[in-house]
Amino acid sequence: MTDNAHGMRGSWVTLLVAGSLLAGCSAQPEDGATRQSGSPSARRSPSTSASDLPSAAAPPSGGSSAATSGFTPDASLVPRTSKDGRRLAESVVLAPRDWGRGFVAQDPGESTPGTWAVLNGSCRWQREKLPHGVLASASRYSSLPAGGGKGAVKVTAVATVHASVLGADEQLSTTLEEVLRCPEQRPRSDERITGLMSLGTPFGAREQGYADDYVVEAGEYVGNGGAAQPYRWMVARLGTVVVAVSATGAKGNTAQELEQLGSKALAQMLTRIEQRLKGE
Amino acid sequence: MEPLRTSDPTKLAGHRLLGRLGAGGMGVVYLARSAVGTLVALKVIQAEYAEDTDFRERFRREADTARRMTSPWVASLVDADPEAEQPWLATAFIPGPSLGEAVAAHGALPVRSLRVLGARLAEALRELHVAGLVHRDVKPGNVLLALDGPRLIDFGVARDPGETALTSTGVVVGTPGFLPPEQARGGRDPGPAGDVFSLGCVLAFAATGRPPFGTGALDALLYRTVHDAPDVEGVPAELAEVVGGCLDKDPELRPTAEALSEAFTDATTSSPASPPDPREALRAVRPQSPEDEIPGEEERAPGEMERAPGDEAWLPEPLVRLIAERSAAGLALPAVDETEVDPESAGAAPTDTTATRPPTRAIGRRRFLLLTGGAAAATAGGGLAAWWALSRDGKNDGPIPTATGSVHTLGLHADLTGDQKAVGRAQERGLRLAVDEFNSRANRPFTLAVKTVDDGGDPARAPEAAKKLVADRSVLAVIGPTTDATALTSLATYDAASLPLIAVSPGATALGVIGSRSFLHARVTDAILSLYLDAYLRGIAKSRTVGIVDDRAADAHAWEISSTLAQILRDERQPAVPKVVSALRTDFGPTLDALLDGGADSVVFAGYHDRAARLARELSNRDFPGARAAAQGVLDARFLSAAGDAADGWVIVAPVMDATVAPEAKAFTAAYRKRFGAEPQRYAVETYDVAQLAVKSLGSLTAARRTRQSLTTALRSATYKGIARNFAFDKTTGTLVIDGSGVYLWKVDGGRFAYQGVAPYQVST
Repeated sequence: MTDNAHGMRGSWVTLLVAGSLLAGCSAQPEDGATRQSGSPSARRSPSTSASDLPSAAAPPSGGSSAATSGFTPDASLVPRTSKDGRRLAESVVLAPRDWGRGFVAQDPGESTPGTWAVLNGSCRWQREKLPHGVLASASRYSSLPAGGGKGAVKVTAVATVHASVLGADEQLSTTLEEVLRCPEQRPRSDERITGLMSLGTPFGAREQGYADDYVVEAGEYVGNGGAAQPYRWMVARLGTVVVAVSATGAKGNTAQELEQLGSKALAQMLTRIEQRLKGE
Repeated sequence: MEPLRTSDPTKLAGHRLLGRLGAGGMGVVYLARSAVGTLVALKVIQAEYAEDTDFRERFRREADTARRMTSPWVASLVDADPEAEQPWLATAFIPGPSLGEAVAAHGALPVRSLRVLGARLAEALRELHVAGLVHRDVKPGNVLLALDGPRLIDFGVARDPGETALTSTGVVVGTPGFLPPEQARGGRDPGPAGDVFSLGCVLAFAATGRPPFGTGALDALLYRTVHDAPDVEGVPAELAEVVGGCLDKDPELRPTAEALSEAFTDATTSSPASPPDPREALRAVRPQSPEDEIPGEEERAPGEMERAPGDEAWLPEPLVRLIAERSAAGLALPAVDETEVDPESAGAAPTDTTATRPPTRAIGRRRFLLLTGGAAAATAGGGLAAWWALSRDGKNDGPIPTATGSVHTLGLHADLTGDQKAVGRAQERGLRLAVDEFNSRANRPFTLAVKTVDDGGDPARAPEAAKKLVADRSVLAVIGPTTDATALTSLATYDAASLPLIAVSPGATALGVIGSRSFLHARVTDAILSLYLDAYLRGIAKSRTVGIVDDRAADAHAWEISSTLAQILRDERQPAVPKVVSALRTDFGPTLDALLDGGADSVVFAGYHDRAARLARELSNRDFPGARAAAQGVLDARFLSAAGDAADGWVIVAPVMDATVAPEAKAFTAAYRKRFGAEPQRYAVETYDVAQLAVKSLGSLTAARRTRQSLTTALRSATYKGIARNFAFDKTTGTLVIDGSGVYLWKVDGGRFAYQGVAPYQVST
């Protein structure tokens, strides 16, 4: 009993540490200029935004995750149609050059329009037609070729635009559910992601001050008979838009480097959403 | 009491100064001996005020009026000289704690004490008001407790108007939380009705342990005073109407002090309250320790051991003991002789007491003599006058020197007024019971005090609450906080001070992995509860496919349970259907559809009570036949009221025992009922256990090693068999060593949580 319990606790510890580490990186992007109005300090914390009246009681002990980031998009700029959604998704999702010097497109370099990735009952990823309620989704696949004693880093950027905030929020719930269901997943037939753990962090919790909601997954990637490499998948929501990045390492890349790369990319996409949706 | 400073005179206006009781903007208050040997609180006004002729005139008028006061329930004016270069006034010195200290140390007063308190304070105010005075600062710190009744002090005499009024800059310097709304709004001079409002606040505070408009930031307090209904939850029903009347926002609608006095007197005399327990008086006079014993003890006349009649036993036993300790503390005051320069006055102490005790209260005096072991000198020494005590912190009951040695304080950091106040208040009672029991032991090596801080369940307020306990050096360990969120935000504050923090109700695994060096987790984590959920569902309820609902509204709490349970089931190669629900979703219908599609024949809800009730109703609407289970986040009366019949059959796994039913808690429950006149609520016995653990660990240290750091080490190394669970800790992390004890099952049956006893942690086959 005790052994079993300690084993479980151990894995939790790892996850929590990983989660807080990741959140910390994202909260303080190295490139401060990319965050502008979205910088954590510019946002109001839930406890002060709940009410400015002195009579405002303490927030309830639970349910804090319903808090919003304080970013209020201009309603007239929020996409309502697939066309507007696609335009926004494509302007937000990072292209190879946005990842940094040396990044190039993979082949293929982007997803088929009108589809998104779904984890099926056998824990395999497959592309399916967008369901009702999802206006658009765009993925771009980039990589940093091997060099300087380091292996190639593969990254993905995804932007998905929903018709409703609830729909967008449920995409993050689904993301969490996927790990409960499938701690081992198959992106392609010759690839495996193993030992996945995840943590969701709503705005205001654990110093998360940059998105309405945030989920991080950490695991290992095994491709085509190679050695296991660190793998990170980070998802964030602002209003009806969900952005995500994956980063897969290779020889010579630490998990921490991947996390920094992913956090910075995610922050960049969040900033783009705000820039495109903010009113005057 | 502070010693005199070098700048202080040793003699003033025929008084010999013994020490400083306090200081304010207007002057200094000394403990002094009058020319005839009476101990007095001597207030000396600063010269700059004395130069103001209006002030001097008001001082003279009020002193004249005060001199005529005859109510036994005000600390009477002994003498005053408004004409002196430095005007002064002397009031009778009352040994005994303030109401604020008493409630902080021993919790809310029972109804019998409240009636006496209300009647006598109303009587005191009546006389003040008839004389044309308004007290303007009725608050727990200005009510001292004596064995025969309360004393209102610091009444309307020579008070700086700025002390309680709003100043021109809108800053309150006085006692917000006890001010009437007309004053909180910015009015400068409340009338007698303002005193009545403040008395209502004082009584509500005495009845519940909480100021009726809460604590916290001044502007928030004033805002609540003006706009919000008072929090009088817990005021006994028979007094609720009278207290509520005092707290009317409209001064015109409040009762007069006279009407109030009558109302309370009626309630007191017509009340069927049980007669005072004669054993209380006997216990009160029993020497606390061998050191307390004085020669001649055995020779005490039997008649003096009789209980004092009627209202003499107006306070509960622990408070009587506190007053006794205060009196004994007088022995620790600088001896009269030490500051005496006039040899003729030396040795006068034994006669002092007669001067301070009005002859009308002979019985009170006799009892007093008993309390102090017949040493009249102790009375003369008095206790610490506490009129200033509350200006520091409304809940402070700081170190009380006693004849039985040093005083150590156990802190309670709790949510006493917020969402989880039921848990916080139960924890306070559990702690107080343990401390009272310890303090009643004759041979105890030290005396324990309790200090509570309330964070209202607000994670943003929790660090401030923690700082208050950290700042009090007498606090050697803290029990609390109540919730995960408040624990997480305050952990670093305790860690930085190496102050042991023992968590009873929070369950987050994160608490134990942050790396705090002084943290102790006195329950299993939420993750561990998943083992018990699994054992219940598959072992007892025979579920074959477990449905797991993770509610994101409960954030990490839910995730810890759901992700661990999913992993357990996976490791055991058992099918599971996990569903994660958005915090924005209010309709659990689609969630349930997905569970049923996946073949789930049971449901675990990982989350809190409010949304569990939604799911419960949805399951009930669908006639779901399978088992439903949850962890302690759902063990809340609000789940029952929100879910109604749909709650029936739910099983809760929680690190909480039902002490009212569990045979192993029988003695605890009997003591609890006797002490509080109520059934122990959830988390009371768990906190009692932890307090016992702390006491035992503290007792294992030599006097010199009773420090926060040594206690942390002692606690982490301790093993203790409590009523509700066994305690042993990981020395590095402070997490509880898991031995299968301490987790219990509850099942909703007929609209209540029915206790099922110890929860199994293994699936029986």
